[in-house]
Amino acid sequence: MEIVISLFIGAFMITAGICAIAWYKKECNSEGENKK
Amino acid sequence: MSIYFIGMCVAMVVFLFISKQVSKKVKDANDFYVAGRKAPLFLIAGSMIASYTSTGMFMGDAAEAYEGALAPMLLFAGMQSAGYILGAVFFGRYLRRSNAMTIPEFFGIRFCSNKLRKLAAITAIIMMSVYLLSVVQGVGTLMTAVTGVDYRICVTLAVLVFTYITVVSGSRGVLITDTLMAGLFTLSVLVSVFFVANEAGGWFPAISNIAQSIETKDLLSWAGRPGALYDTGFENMTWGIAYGIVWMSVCAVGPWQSSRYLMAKDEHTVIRSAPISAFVIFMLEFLVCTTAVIIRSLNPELADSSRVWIWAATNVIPTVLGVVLMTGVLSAGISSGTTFLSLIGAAVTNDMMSAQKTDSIKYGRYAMIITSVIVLVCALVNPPAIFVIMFLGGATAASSWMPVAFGSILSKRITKTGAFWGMLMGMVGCLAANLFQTFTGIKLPAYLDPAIIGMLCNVIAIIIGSALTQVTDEEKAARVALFVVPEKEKDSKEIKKTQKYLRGTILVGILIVLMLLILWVFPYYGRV
Repeated sequence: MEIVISLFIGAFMITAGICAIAWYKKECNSEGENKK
Repeated sequence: MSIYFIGMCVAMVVFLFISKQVSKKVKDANDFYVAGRKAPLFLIAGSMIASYTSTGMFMGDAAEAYEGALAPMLLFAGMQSAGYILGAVFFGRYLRRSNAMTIPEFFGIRFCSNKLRKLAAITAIIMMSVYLLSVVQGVGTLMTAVTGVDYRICVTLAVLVFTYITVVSGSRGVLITDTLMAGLFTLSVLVSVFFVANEAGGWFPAISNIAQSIETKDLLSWAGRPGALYDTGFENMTWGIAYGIVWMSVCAVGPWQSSRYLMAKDEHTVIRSAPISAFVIFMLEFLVCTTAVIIRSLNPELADSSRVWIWAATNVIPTVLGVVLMTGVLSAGISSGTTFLSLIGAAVTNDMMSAQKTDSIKYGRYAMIITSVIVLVCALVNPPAIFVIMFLGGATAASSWMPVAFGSILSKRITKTGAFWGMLMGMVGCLAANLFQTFTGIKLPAYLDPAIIGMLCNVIAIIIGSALTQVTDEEKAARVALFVVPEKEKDSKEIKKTQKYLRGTILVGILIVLMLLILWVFPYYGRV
């Protein structure tokens, strides 16, 4: 169970990171579209 | 005079001197309240870390771990760290982009509502005053315990120092002293952990020994020691997740955290600071809490568990390092005090009084001094009624602000009415749940933390309020304006660099897992 908790904490952080990367990329792309 | 007291006084004099020097560069309200919006990455990350770390972590969180609730503490600490990532990307950069002077002003601009701005300012003033009071009491208790100097003298000294720093040098001085204090605290904790582990026979043997003893193995297990928080492991885990959600919200949008973004030199700095803050805060929580368990193996008889680290600093760690460590903790408390006080001044002057720019600094300073006097009197007298308002501490940031803050960016349908009632009901729900617990003596289940109840009330009020009203053209335009990226943020090199930092959050997640496995789980199972 201690291993599960450790993996959960890491996965939680990584998921937050992936959401943040996707959102930032989306905004950068939409700016690119606007330029075109 | 105790060497600890001398060390603390020297540190305070150094911080006063620095703030005096910095004050010479404060020219206008922009400098005073948002550090001229020029702060580089290391100052933003340093101030984020310093604003979070205070006696609460060193005495409160460490005490919970000492009592046997390590795993739930780690769970909450891991989840809250993710709040820095989510807060910076989904809220902080838009906050910076709005060019607002305060977060209540941001809410006012986004929802075209002065009423909402005033409500946000009131909630900010309440939550930060309460938190400031608890920090002052914590610093006073710490100084008295370590130095033996009278509590009233310690509290008065601490209040005088952080008031002087804030009043004289404003946010610019707060950022610089915060970063120095964060560095001192982090470094002293890292070195102290080494000495404590060494005294217990080394980190890995110490963890293994605690895990192998029938009497102590619960301290490190996922379930924790029955009764430390709740009676069962399931309840403790539920508490960890609920508390993790609450503090993730606080770290994402809490005024003493997200207000740092207003001072960043650009949006890239806002985003880049997030993985640094997330990793350092988790590392500090992990080391402070896990080492508290190791300290218990050295002395399981402490009458007051909140003094676990103080005992180690005065009995285990070499005296010079103990002085540095205690000074670091004091600095962490003072740095939080400077942040809260500067934000209270900004909210009173800019949001409640709407003072003109020329008078803004003067009135801000008056507001800070009056707040300091009130907090000092409360810390000394501790009036009986204060406990009611103490319920509105950090949790208010989660229950009152979080849904509105994220909704202001992510939702097209949220209206000013929905936002206003959401913010109000979030605070009322949190307070009502706390009062219910106090006056009925009924302890709510772990998953129904008062802040969670407040957040639910907030979301329900937003949905109802927004369903009954229409988003105006003005509000639509305000939201659209937030999505227009300023020209200076479009440098492709800078964007690529920021994307690298964001990818660094994946690395932070991996490092956290490795830290937990290598320093906690494997030695717990006797694999190291």
